[in-house]
Order: sequence, then C-alpha cells, then structure tokens
Amino acid sequence: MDDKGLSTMYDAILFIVMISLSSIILTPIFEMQTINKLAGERYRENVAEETLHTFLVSMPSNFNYNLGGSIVDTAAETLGIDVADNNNLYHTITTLILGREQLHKTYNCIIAENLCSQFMIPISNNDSIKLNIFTEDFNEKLKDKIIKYLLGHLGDYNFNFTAYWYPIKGVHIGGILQVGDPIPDTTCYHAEETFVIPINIDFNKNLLFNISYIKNITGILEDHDIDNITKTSLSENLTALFRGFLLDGLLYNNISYPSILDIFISYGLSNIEDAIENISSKLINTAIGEGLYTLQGILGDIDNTTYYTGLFNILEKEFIDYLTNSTGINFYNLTGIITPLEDIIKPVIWNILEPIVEQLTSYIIDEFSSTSSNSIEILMDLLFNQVSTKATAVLVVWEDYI
Amino acid sequence: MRFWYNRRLYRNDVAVSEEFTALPALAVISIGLTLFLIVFSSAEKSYDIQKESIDEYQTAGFLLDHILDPNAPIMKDKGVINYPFLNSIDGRNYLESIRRQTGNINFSISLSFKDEEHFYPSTPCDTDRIAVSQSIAVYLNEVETIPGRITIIIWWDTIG
Repeated sequence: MDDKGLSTMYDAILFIVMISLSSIILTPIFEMQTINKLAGERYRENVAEETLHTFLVSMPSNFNYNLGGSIVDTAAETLGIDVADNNNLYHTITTLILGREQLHKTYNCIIAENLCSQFMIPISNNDSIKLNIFTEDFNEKLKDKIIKYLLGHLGDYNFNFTAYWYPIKGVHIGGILQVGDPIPDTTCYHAEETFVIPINIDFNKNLLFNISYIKNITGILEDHDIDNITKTSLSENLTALFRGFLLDGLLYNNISYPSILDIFISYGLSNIEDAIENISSKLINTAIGEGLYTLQGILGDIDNTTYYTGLFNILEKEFIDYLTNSTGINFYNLTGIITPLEDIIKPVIWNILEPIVEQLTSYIIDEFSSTSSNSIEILMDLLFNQVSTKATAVLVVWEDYI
Repeated sequence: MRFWYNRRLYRNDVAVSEEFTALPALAVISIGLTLFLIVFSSAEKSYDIQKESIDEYQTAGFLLDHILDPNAPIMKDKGVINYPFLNSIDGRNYLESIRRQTGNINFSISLSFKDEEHFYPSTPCDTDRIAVSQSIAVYLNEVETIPGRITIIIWWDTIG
C-alpha cells in the first residue's frame, strides 16, 4: 500500500475554470441587445408602411392654390405691382379669380390629379420639362402640405416621398412629385403603394386583333414553322406593333388608332387649354366692377376690346414662349402644336424604348417557338403591360446616425 | 535541528498541517458553485420572461389585426376606421362579440386623433396590461378623414 500522496488545489482550480467557461458561454442571454434591435427594426418597417397608407387615405384640412398664379404674378411684376404683399388689392383679386380649393378629397386623389396635370415630357436623353406652367403653385403648395404632414408624423426619422406616374413604363413622361432628403446608402425602410389616376386609358382589346401587324403575325404562325426568315419577319412585325401602339398610332380599316403618346399629349394640351380658358372666363363671370377693370387694365392688351381675349392671349403667349425656349423650336400658337411636339419627343422616347422592345420581341419569339397555343394572348398581355394606368407613391424612411 | 539536512528536499516528510485541510478548497468550490447556479438561473429566468413577453405581445398584435380586418364593420376601408359606427351601439355590440370569442383575455381600444382620446368599449382595468399601437386614418364624416393612432390594451381576467 502506497501511503505517499500529493494534495494540491488543482482540482478546485479546474472546477472554477470550468464554471467560468460555462458562464462565458451563457452570457449572450444577458445581452438582449440583438433581440431589442431586431424588435425595433420591425417596428420601423411597419412605420413606413403604416404612415404611407394613413397619409394617402386622409384628407387635408384646407388646401388651396392659385391656378396660373406665378405667370400672372410675373406679368404684374413687370408693371411694377408689388406681388408679395398679401393685403393689397392685387392679391385679393387674384385669389378671388384664380384661387382653387380642393375640398373633401383624400391625398391620393389630390396627388393623382397633380401628377396627371404636370404634362412632363423628355426633350433630350437626360432632360425633361414640365409643360403645364399654370400648375406650378399647385405643385408647390402640395409639396408643402406633404412635408408638413410627414414631419409631423415621422419627426424622428428622415424621409423621402416620391410619387410618380409614367404611362409608358421606363420612360420619364407623365408626372413626378418629390419631397424630402436624398436617399442615403445606409439601411432604409421602404413602403410603396399604387393608386388610380383620373385619366381613362381604356382600350378595346378586340379592335387590336384586326390590326395588320397582328394579322401578319397570326398568318406567319399558322402557316410556317419558325425558321430564320420567319424570325426576321416576326420581329419586324412585333417591333412595328410595339412602336405603333406606344408611339406612332395604329391603322385599323383606314382609321387611326391613337397611340399612348397621342392620348397623353392631347390630354395634356386639353388641360392647358382648359386652364387658360378657365382663368380667362372666370374673369368674365366674376363681376367685381372696378376690380375687374383694374386687373384687366393691368394685364390686358391695350388694343383689344374684350377683357377675355386680352388675358387669354397673354397666357397663351406665356405658354408658347416657354415651350419655344425649352425645346428650341419655334411655336406660334396652340393649334397645330401636336405634330411638331411629337416630332421632338418621339426619337428621345424610342431611344429608351428600343432595347426594351428588342428584349420583348426576342422573348415573344421564343415563346412562339415553344408553345403554339395562347401566343397571341401572351403578346397582348405583354403589350398592355407596357402601359401603366396607376400612379405609385414610395415612402423611404431612415434614421439619422450622427 | 539535525533532521533538517538529513532529508532531501523532494522526499521531505516534515510538514506542518492544520486541522481541516479541505476547507480552503471547499470555500473556493462553494463560491464557484454558487456563482454558477446564479448565472444559470438568471439565464433560465430571462429566457422565460422573454418568451412570455413575446407571446403576450403577439397575442395583442393578432387581436388588433383581427379587429382591424378590412371586412370588419368598424372599418370603412383598409386602414380607415369608421368613427361614427364605432361610437354607436352597433359598434359596441361588435366589440362585445369579439370579447366573447377571446376567452380570458379582456381588451380595450383607445383611439386618439387631433387632441382627443376615446376608449371602447370602456376604460381599461388597472392590472398588468400590454398595449400595441398602430397609426390609422379616422373617418369622421363625409368630408373629414384625419390621421390618428389606435391602441389595443389587453389584460388577463383573474380566475374567480
């Protein structure tokens, strides 16, 4: 029996070391930081979505703007009238005649109307202009309202609100409204909603079946197999179909079927004509005696006999001047504006659309080669998919890390 | 002192011993064990509390989603609550019917807009409660739809 032994504290020390190791393994449970941070992030994602939806369905308390306000102000300023003073006769008269109030409409209706009235067109590859100069005040006042609402509800966060309507997808034609700070590269929370616009872009799909391009395509598909010759012919017909539908217009039984661009431009121009006529006719219908004479005396053409024609001509001239200066092409009056305007816009749009249409045509030809049934349906769906009949509102929210 | 240099160092049997040699080791071990038990039980407890809390907040969230379902009669549209209906007897009956479905969970809804706050069906109890809120639009009448905040406050009925 060996009585020799050695006693140390090593086993106690080993025990302590093991316990410390297990505590270190368990420490993450005490730090709830990650869990709290995740819970906070989920709340922030919901904030963006909830705030956007609540904003779009509420009504502003009182919202009014002056139609054509800035144009008339400019004309008056050149004659020495103080347009900044809110208490003088000029201000009272213009608010009476040109003031518009939007009553009982939700924000999505008001924003949709604004987007449809902007009449924005691209004039070169990087540049677009808003042609409706009479609604500048509408734009500014609406932006102020939106900023005020969002600051009140999202005070802790930075935000960027963008609402846009592009009738031809991918092309910057239509209208856009942007408020807020530019979007940073950090983590942002994003909410998006679509809503309807007041313009009716309605098509009778059945009419399209008789368009010559579609007839050619159906003819090719029925009679021949898809080989290289039919592919070229198919792609030509498809490109012509897309271009006609979106830009040039299509012929059906010798009747011109307007393109999306045609509809958009005639809608925009009719808006502008309405604006000019409303301003001028309100002038007539509002009998305020001396005030009427004073305003007309300030703004009217001295040679003309009727008040109506004087103001109408001034406003029309303003619009034509603006159009001439922005596009570099001489316009003379409102009639006969459509064709030269389209001649400027079409090449720019086709530049952007051509690659998209190429991709679509090759996709469609692949579809035709693989399945023969419902090919025309696919084609129609893709065609109408290029048109957007709704406006989109996007709210991006992020925190400011200092 | 003769026996000191007779022995070698590594085979020195001369020693001084106290009475209870195991006591220092025992002290260290008991302190260590106590600390370990404290760590372990805190971990378990915090996990338990967290699980229960998530469960409770989820219940409140689901109940709020159920009440704010767009097909419910108190909602005019998605995200818009019908204030006149909520104030009426039909609104109270609707909330009572939901209350009957929730078992031992009692709830109260608080709607706040402009500077007012209203509780439906009645003001909440003073016991332990959980609240979840969401922003919402309030339809006051044909011409006014304003933004507001809706909060659901739930508490558990004690048995008996």
